[in-house]
Amino acid sequence: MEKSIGIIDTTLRDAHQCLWATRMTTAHMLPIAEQMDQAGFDQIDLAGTIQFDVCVRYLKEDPWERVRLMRERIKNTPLRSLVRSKNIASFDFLPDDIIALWVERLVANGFRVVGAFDGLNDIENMLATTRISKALGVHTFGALSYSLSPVHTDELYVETAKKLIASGTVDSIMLKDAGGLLTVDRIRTLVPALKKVLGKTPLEIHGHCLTGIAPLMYLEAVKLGADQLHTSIAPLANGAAQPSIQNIANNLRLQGYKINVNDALIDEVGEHFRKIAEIEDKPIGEILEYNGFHYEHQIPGGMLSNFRSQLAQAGISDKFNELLEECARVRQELGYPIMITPFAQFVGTQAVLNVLHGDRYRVIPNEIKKYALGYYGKLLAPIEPSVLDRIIENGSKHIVLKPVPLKPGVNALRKKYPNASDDERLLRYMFAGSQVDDMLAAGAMQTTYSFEHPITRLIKEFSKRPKIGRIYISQPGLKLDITGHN
Amino acid sequence: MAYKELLVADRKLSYQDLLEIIRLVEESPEFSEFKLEYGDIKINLRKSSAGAISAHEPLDNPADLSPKVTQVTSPPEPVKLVRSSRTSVPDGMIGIKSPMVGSFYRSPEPGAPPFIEIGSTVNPDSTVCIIEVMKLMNSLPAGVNGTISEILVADGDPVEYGQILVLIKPS
Repeated sequence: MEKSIGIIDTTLRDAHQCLWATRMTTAHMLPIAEQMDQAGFDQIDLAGTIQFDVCVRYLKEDPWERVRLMRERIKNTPLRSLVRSKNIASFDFLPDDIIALWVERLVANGFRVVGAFDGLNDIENMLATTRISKALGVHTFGALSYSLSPVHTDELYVETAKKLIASGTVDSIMLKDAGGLLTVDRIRTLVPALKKVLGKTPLEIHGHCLTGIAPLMYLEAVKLGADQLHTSIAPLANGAAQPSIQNIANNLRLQGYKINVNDALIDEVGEHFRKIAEIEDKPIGEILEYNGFHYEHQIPGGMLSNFRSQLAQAGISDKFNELLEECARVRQELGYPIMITPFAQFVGTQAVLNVLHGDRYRVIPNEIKKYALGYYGKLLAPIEPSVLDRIIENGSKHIVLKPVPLKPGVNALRKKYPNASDDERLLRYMFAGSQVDDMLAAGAMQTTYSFEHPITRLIKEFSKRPKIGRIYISQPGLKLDITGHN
Repeated sequence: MAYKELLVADRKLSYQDLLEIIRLVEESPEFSEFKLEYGDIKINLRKSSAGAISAHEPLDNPADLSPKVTQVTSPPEPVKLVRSSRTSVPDGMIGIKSPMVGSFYRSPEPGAPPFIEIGSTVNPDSTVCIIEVMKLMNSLPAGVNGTISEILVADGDPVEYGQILVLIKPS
């Protein structure tokens, strides 16, 4: 019998995170939600942490309301959410009871799949989420965060997977390659090693197309026993995002696998987002070529541009290559953290400071000291001893050497905002200052999307009103003045 | 909130959109004169007596009809240039300088009391401010015993590498 491969769709979560800086609005999603529900996916990934962050701070949309509106339309396919370690939106860790309330509210608002990842592969940081989601009866997953370094061995992933399974709190294991680093060669050793310890627990593969090889890597992973693949719908696929379902489905079917997705509906969804990309002037996923340099530094693209401006301001733009080398050195000295948020920022910022000041580890960001002291979980490898000394000596004296367990936060939070819902309280907890008030002040979010330009819509409306002799509208960026015949 | 919906200028006006607007004005029997300024684009249309359309005066910026319109989506915000009023540290003072390009914060989190005010006494480990870059917080210590004499940057302002932020009179 032909093996069926499950598809977890990432169009509404990771694809626009990678391609549109997470700026897909609820109004972009709602009109096509029912087609996506019918398309035959195992799960639809809707929100990690960054989607909440961008909703509140930039789109001024209530992210919980987005989830509820989507859940009303996506009735069959489970919606999926991903929790980052124990820090959700911030860099600093949150108390366990806040994480628990977060997971509870994810489930209450409509998520039916909730799991976690941790950049250090510290399973305690993932279990804070999976224990609760398991207890709430939803499908749970734990992630293996893939990176390249001497400490990111197959054994590390096998051990992490074993511990996750032994915890009894995960229903599947996600091999998560946020940096787009997995190669076909590596998958040939890694997937069989994982399959041995996974038994019947399904293995999901989550890649990124940054070096163009993820689609091939997926095919190889399936051949070796991977059960589910993370894909997005082209044209919101490829580039920095996941492989396209269109391409993966064709190639797997050619090899005799069964992919239960409805191609016609998927084309319709792709066309919807293609039109929105055109109107909103947003990029679509380009197919990237193989780039060996990507494996050298592993530095996220956004950070490279920050590096350039830091060096330019200090008048040492010629030191760019030195900075890249410093990044590699800092990463090694800090015990090879994975180069994704927040660890990439740790490594990158420390490297910038080292190069700017010529005196390495003289200026220490607070987060570097906390990382070194284990505030963010167990390190993958010990920090170079002389570097650790400098971090402790030169870092803020207000950071105590032994992390103190965080006090529960929920009761205090409920007291602080007695009349708010838990949903709102959690947003207020995570987004300081006036950010939540600003979001609420922006009013109800748009739930419909017009493919017509607002100006043409206005003109059509006006032309239906012959009694009006003159219309004048002025606002920043717009003046419209129409005179009628009378 | 109807006004929120009217904030149309956040969507680019493409060449196709312009053609559509001209067609609509031409076909509507009700309009005699039509003027639109949209970001960098200006269009003036007036129907001739026979109902035909003409651009009755030269377009202010005909070149703006070119695909440059993509600029319209995000009008550049005026660059806020903040430089401290001091480029050197006066004699007898200690200057706290920014270790890198970033944002200057006076308190540990929004709404919290500032670390220091003018006249605050500090010791070497006292935090005087935070410089944030890529969401990482650099607490800058006073480094000396003394009194805060000047705070040269406003909370939240961008600062440059080496910029003098705070002056301390050592005791």
